[in-house]
Amino acid sequence: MKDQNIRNALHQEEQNRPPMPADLNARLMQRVEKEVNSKAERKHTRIVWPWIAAACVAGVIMMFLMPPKIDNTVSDETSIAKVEKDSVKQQIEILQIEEPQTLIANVAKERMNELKIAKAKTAKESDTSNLIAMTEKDIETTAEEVIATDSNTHRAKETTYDNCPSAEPQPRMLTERDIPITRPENYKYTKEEIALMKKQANEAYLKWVELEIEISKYNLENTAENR
Amino acid sequence: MTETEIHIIEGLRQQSPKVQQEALEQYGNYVWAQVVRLVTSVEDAEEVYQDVFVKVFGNIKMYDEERSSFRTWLSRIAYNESITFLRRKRQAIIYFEDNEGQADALSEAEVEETLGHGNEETVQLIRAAIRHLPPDEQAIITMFYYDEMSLKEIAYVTETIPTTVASKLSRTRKKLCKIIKMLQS
Repeated sequence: MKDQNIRNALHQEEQNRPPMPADLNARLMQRVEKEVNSKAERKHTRIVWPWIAAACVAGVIMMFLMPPKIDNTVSDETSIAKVEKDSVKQQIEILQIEEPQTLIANVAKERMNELKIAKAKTAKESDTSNLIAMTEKDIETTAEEVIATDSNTHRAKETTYDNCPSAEPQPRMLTERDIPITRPENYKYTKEEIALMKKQANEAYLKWVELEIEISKYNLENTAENR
Repeated sequence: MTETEIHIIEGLRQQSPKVQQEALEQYGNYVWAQVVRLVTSVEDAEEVYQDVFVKVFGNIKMYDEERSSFRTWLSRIAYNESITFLRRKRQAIIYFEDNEGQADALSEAEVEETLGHGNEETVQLIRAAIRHLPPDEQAIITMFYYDEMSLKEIAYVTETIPTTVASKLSRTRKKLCKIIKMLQS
């Protein structure tokens, strides 16, 4: 046979190869069993996990689609109505406190009294009689004006009062007065104080800028002299 | 195909542990020999051996009776797993590389004269020369001369064509001759 020497050589080489360990097949079967069990577990989790994923996705979609919860105790409309009611109540209170007729009458009375006192003092002086007449007239006119303005305001208030039904106030825009102060630091400074502080800050900034300009001028002059 | 082979193939397809055990008893030594030719370390060979059969049991559905015998299919998996292991491990293997092409220049007559002497000394020289061959060439000549596989079967195992296997065999013979001459000098 051709290449018999090669065959013999290979035969001898194969004989000298290390033999297969006796427990190798047993270890192999254990490994195969482990892999089969782990595959079964993975299959089970593979079946379960799509359902879990679908449930998560459905939950997220539900969160976006569900409408936000509505608080029955407070709503935008009811809060506006409440504020309006409050403002109407305030107005009523003011109107009750300030009765226009008595107010005008009081003002007029005070002025008349003053005039009488003045008249009594200067009764002997004829020069002042005209003045007193003038002042009386002025007082009357001012009293009339006061009455007129007060009546106008009273009419305005009346109209507003008449136009505001007790049960259904007209809607109006909310202002800063309606919103209560909740931050404690806002109680600290008044508006005037804040404005003053801003003004002072601006002045300080301007002074600082002027100072910087002076410094730069001085430096320029010095460098010019040094050269 | 023998009845034993048919029984084993059917049982493996059903993932029967009993038939798997029978397959190991039937083909275990053969696969071990295939693996240990390429992977000389015993510990590494054990690992590769296990990987081979795990792959066989897992991919039995891919076996096609018309393309090759079951034994040849096993050889293919064992060969590929061994080569993959050697590449992954990047173990330094010292072997003869005929970069100058001096082996190819040898004539068939010279080769026959070198390898043809029927004495023990020549056999030992050939054994020593085989150890200087790269692992894949060792496997090919072993499959051809020891396992007596055909060129078609070797081509299936090494995933090449029969003519490539034939030319490789021829070159390997000449290389053996060259190595023997180097060893003798």
